Amino acid sequence: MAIHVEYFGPATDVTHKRDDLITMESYPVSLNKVWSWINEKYGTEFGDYIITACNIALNTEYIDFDKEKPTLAFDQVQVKDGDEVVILPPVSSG
Amino acid sequence: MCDWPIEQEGYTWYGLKNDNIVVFLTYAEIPVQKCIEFVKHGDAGAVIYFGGTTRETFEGREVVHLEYEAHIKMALKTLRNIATNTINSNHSKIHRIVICHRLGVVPKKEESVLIALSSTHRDHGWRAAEEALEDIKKSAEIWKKEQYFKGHSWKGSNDNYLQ
Repeated sequence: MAIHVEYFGPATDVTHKRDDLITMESYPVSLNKVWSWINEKYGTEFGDYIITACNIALNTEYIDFDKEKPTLAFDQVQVKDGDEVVILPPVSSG
Repeated sequence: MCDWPIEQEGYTWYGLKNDNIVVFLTYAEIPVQKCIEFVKHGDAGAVIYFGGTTRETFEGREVVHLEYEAHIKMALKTLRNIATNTINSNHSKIHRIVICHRLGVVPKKEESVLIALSSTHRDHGWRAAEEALEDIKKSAEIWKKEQYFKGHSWKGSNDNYLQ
């Protein structure tokens, strides 16, 4: 088991894949740790894009965070083994 | 609301349905006439239909095709909430509604999004359909890619932020 991170739309132009499975040494971890993992793997420019332009959902529920100080909220969100973290760029249906 | 996905006519339809509401996502061509038939209602004097179709060009560049992807579970929940809100917030003047969005490659001139609803009078119907469409474009977890002969572009408020 692991944490499942899903990417959509323009985010996949950076990741070149739909998802990642992240294995942590112990669970639960904070969302901050997952965000740091994404920054390390894809670079801080992508991490900044997520913060400034995207929404984040945990198991389909949106995470509320301050774009100026996202880590304050991320530290409070617990992510467990088997959870899904979703990166949602600005939507563009129609 | 029924379970999803539904296998029908060889395609997977991700849908939610009750007596007055149908919302679905499909990789197949949208069955426009079926949607219109569903919303017809004995108390309705109007059926409003909106079909969003794919254009051949964007800012002078020829579009080969449009391609859509969705977080299916989240998008269906959002579409269901929009459909439910359309009926609940119009004081019994909207009777039935269908919202559908197509996924995958959509050839030029075919529908990518559909709203059909029935209303007691036409003025409420027009307004409700317009509001529903705005809500869909604002919040449904769906992404549009315009494929050109050379390269592609994701649409959205932060278009090309990463390029």
